[in-house]
Amino acid sequence: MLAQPVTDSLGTRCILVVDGEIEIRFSLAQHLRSAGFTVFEAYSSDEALALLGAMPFDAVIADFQTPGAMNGLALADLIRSTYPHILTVIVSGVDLSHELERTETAFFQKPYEGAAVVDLVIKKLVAP
Amino acid sequence: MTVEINQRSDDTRIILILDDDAIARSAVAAYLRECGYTVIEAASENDARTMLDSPKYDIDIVICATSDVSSEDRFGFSRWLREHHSHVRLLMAATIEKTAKLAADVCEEGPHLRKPYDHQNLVAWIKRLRA
Repeated sequence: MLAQPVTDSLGTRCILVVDGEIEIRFSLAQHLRSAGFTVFEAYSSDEALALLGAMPFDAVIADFQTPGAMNGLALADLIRSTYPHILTVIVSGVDLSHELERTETAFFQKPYEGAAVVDLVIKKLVAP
Repeated sequence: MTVEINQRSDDTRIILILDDDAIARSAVAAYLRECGYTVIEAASENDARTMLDSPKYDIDIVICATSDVSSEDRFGFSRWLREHHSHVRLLMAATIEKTAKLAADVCEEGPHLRKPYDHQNLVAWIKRLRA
């Protein structure tokens, strides 16, 4: 079930979803769009870097095993150091919570509820 | 976690855009979403096939960007689409200008029946993003 739109102002918040699995990427992106966010999608870390260099984002949600020159963790590290204002979230089929516990990057283990990711993004971006 | 978009309202149509250029694909997809379409973004023929073959997604139109590098794969994909999903309308474009014009034409027959902005502005936006 899609999350309900919470506020029209979320449309000004821009989220990048990075995942090599098109169905998972599209599904999460649709959850975020239904909540009111503007969402862009990247198949790989290379595509993500191209989009990050082209437009401003408020949050990046990346799969750990995303295709490309770097995996999701390396991409999140790079984003935190280059764009520290961007919220980073990693999703993965394996538990990476230990690796991420000393960072500002949030973590969701697959299979996750899209609504839970939406709730976290709203909490962090709209009501920090 | 899947979104059941096949349980859609009658006026929601689904477009799949196949383009390995992330910036152009994202910009055209954003434009078409403003026209009221649900847009699926595919970076490869394999991804496009996955979504077209899935019973969850009732795709109406495929916009396929071709380039010198990708043209052989794209024409193979178009043959596959005609053989396996003959009801799906296929639109092919070799340049971003032509892709933007196709998107604008599709927009005018879409749910909102009007363009959010001129397709030349879409081309200009893509060029700015690439700069």
